[in-house]
Parts: sequence; C-alpha cells; structure tokens
Amino acid sequence: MSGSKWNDKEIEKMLNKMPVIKNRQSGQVMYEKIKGNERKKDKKRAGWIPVAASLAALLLLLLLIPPFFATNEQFNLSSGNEGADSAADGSAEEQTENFSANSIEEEQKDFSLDERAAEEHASSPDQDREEEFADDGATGSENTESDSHVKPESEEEQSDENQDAAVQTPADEDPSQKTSLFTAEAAGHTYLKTALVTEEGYVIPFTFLLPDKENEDNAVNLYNRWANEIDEEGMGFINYHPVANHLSVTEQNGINGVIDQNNEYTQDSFSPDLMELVLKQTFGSGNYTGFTFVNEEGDKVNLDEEMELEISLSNDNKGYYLFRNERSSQVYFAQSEKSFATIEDAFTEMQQVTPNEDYLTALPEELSIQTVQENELLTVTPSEQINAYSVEEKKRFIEAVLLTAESFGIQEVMFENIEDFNELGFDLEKPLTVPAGPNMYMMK
Amino acid sequence: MDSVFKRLYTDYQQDVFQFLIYLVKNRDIAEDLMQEVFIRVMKSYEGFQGKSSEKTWLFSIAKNVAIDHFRKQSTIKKRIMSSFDWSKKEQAADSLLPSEIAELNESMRELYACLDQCTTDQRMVVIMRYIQELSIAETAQILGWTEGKVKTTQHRAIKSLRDKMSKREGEEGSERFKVE
Repeated sequence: MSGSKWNDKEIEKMLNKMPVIKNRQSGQVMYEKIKGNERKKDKKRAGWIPVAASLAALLLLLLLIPPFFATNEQFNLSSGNEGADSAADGSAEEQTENFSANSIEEEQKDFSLDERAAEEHASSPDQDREEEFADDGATGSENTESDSHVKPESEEEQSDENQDAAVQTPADEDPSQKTSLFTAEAAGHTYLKTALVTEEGYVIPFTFLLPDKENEDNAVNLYNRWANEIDEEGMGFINYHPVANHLSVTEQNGINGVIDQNNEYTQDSFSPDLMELVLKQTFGSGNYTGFTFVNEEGDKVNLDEEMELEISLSNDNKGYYLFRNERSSQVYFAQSEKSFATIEDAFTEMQQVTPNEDYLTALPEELSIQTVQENELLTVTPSEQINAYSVEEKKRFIEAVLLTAESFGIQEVMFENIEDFNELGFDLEKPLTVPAGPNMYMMK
Repeated sequence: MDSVFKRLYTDYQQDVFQFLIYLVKNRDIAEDLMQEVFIRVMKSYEGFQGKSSEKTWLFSIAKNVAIDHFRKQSTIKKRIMSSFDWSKKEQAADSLLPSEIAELNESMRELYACLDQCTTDQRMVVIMRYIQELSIAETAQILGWTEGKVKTTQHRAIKSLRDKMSKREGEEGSERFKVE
C-alpha cells in the first residue's frame, strides 16, 4: 500500500525485538509430568495381567470340561495359527474379505485374541526391555520416536476409547495373511492406488482391488471412475476424495484437476501438506510430471501461496511404518514423508525413529539388518533374534521391507535367517517379488 | 532426576518453549507440547548420532511435535467447520495473550497478531530466524529444507507481514476518520 510506514526492514527490526516469553515449568515439574505419564501407561499395561489371568483360568476350565469344546469350535480355530498354510494359497477375494472384516468382533473372538496376546507376552523379546522402561520413568511413553516398534497386543497401549477393542488386521484372523497387494494374487483384477486421510490428518496409502479387470489402465481414469466409490468414512477415515471434480492428463503428461470456484480448499482449514501427500501417494507411482488444480475455464488455481502451481508427484525412496487407526482399530502400513538416499538409510531410520507419535516401526530396533543389492535383487539378512518374534511381527517386518524395496525400484527381495516361514504365508526359499502396493482393500 | 534430562532441559528448555509458544500462542498447549518434545527427546537420545548439533536436533523434534499438533487441529477444523464460530476462537486466543506480549506497544502487539495469518511454514521460519536468531543453515537443517527454500519462505513471510500491517494501518485510519 502506498504511503504506509511499514517496510521490510521495520518489520524485521520489530521481530528482533519480540520479547522472551518465559517457560514457567521447572525441570523437576516436567520430569514429574513425564514420569506420571509413564506410570499411567504402566497402569494400563498392568491392567492386562488380571484379565489375562482370568482368561487363563477360564481356558483351564474349558480344558477340564470336554463338552465345552464342542460349543467353542470358533475359539479354538482363531486362537492358533492353524489356518496359515491354507491362506497362503488363498485367492485375492478371500484375503480381502478377511481384511475388510469388522474390527470389533463378537466377545468370543476378543477372548481368543487376548489369550494369544497373553501367551506372546510371556515369550516376546521385548518384554524385558519394556519392563526396564517401566522402571525408568524418564524414558517416557512407548508410542514415540525410536522405541515405538509394534509390541504384541498384550503390551500395546490401547487408547482410552478403545480399551476393549481388539486390533483386527488380517494377521489377527490369520497371521500368515498379507496386507499388501501382490500382483500375482490380484487374479486379473485391476487395482487403484490412492491414500486416505485419518481424522488426525495422517495420510495412509491404499491399494484398492477393483471388482474386475478395467479397460481403463490409466491411473487418472481409474481415479475418475472409482474415487467417489470409496467408503472413506465406513473405513474409519474422513471424506477427502475425489480431490477434484474431474481429472485429465495433459499433453505434457501432467494431471489437471478441475475444481469449483467456491471449493473448500480456499478455506482456512485447507492443508496444502496433506493434499500434496495424498496426490503423491495416489499418482506418484505413475510417470506423471505433476498435478495442477485448474478452474472450469482451465486457468491454473493457486490454492495456497506456499503451494507450487504444479505439485510434484515424485514419491520414491520412502520407508514404511505401521499406523493404528483408532476409529477402525485397524493397523495399516503408512509411508514416510521423507525420502531416503539409500535403502540402508531407510531401514536404519525405520528402526530408530518414527516420524510422529502415532506411527510405529515395523522393524524392531534390536535387530541388525544386513543388505546386499545386486541389480534389482535385494538380499536382506536380519539377525537371528528375529525368530524370537511372533508370526505377526515377522510378517510385518517382511512386508515393511518389501514395500520399502518397492519404493526404491527394487523388484525382488531374498530374506535370509528367518525360520518357520511357512507360517508367514511367504515362501522364503526363493526371492519374493515386491508388492504392487500396501493395504489392499477390496472395492465392491 | 535423570542427568541427561536435567542437562538437556536446563540447556534448551527456554529456546524450545519460546519456539512453541510463538507458534501455538497458547501457554497451556505450549507446555503440553514441551512435554511431548522431551518425551521424544529422551526416547531417541541414545540414537542421536551427533550429525547435527544438539540444539538443531531438539528444534527438529519440536518442529515435528508442532506440525503433528497443527495437522490434528487442521483435520479437526475441517470436520467441524460448518458449525464452528471462528470469531469466538479469535477471542479465546486473545484472552490467553502472554503477559510479555500484553505489555508491548500497540504496533508490536499487532505484529504478533499478524503472525497468526501467516502460514505455518512462514511462522516457523520467522520464529527461528528473528525470534530465536538461528542462522539460515540451522533453520534449513531443522526444517529439512534447502537454504534457498528458507530464504524464499522468509522473504514471503516478511512481505506478508508488511502487507498485513499496512492493511491494519489502513483499516485503523478509516476507523479513526469515522469516529472523528
């Protein structure tokens, strides 16, 4: 504005003079708060012990009264790993039907899960370390940064609202079940990759297996056709798709997304970071040059001054973490926002640091992981401690490695040192082809 | 008290708190986020490899904690926008003005208020560069950006603040004219 007394120098000078706002919390107070927080979590964990004891007593009762077995067949089936081999050969439909199963099952199934978790509690190599944490209050909560890899369900912190809800992933129903989509198992179906947004603003990638083989193999056309069909709220996410009224591919192989003049993106609550993540995870695996929002006349629309007009869709060299959606109680693979220079860097960081308080690492920090890459084959050798982990934890380890390898353009991964792999649903005697995408979901 | 915690808290608590409170502008929230920062710091201290300075490492954790906070807020806002009265939110924020800011002259208070209208990236850069007096290299390291991006964001932030202050000045001038 002409004639204004404000210029850049004046603003800078004033900013330099902004006062110090004193922190009033003493170190002792903060330390006590952190310890109190840890104690609260210990209490939650301790709450499992009487429950597990009661369940064990009930189980004993069931064993002593044989007629009970006849009426509790389902309990027996779901408490073990017996179904592992059959699922390894199962069709895509069978897998996805399980995957989309309601997370909060009937009481009987919760019981069986609790019982399995209680068994794992006794054998997990994490237990001792976890107890050390409980003794040392200064080390804080388990859901943050380096020490947040997934624990067996008996140890896992449950949110207040979900204290009684069992975590239901395909692995809970059958530990051998994979959550990613492997093209060999797609059985001729076309798939759509996109990402959904949680209430807390996390972006979770999905691979939707479409009912049939579609004529539209182009990701943009598939998105136009299917994005509106995704039942985001039903899956425990917020309604975010479609991101534009219509998408088209430009001559330069970019994507244009047509939006209305009065779209919600121009409102205060719009998060450009979130939009970029969704677009990258939706179209990043294609060869598109970028994504541009345009109005109905075809003019470029700048949704936010911090956002480039053409949003880069580059989405390579990412790591994978685990994320539990509190609304659906499902556990999903989530991608790192950060790209890594090498796959070794990605694995190291995936073991040691999580990008936020709610992601969990699928690669236990205790393991040492050796990698050798020859052309498009990566050989991954975790230390033998991996065999002390549960079937589910090993499976998550394998899938996280495979998904990360896929992000680095690697075609196959050979795993060494993992025993009893038949239970995992993977044939580890030969290299595994990397998956097409994480978190497979059947579109009906 | 854990000696590592004691040292880190003594050395960096004021810097981290100052960064957080200027960013979220609410003492209670800043204190909660401080707690989260130090929980994460203590969890990951063993893995800290010294590739960056302790200070930039701590700031980058504080930045991640703040971004997580804003991301949650942003999504919650989006969901409830239709039934939310934004003017009330402004009033609530004003009532929590820290005493150090309340004592400033009017222009300084206005500039503090204008910071709210900058993007989160701009606010982070302004706070780090001008209020925390971090270098461009340090700011870039904390944010995981290039130095070029820090400079561009800083430039845009100052321009944006200048425009907002000028606009307020104009609005006040016309208000005064009406009153007189």
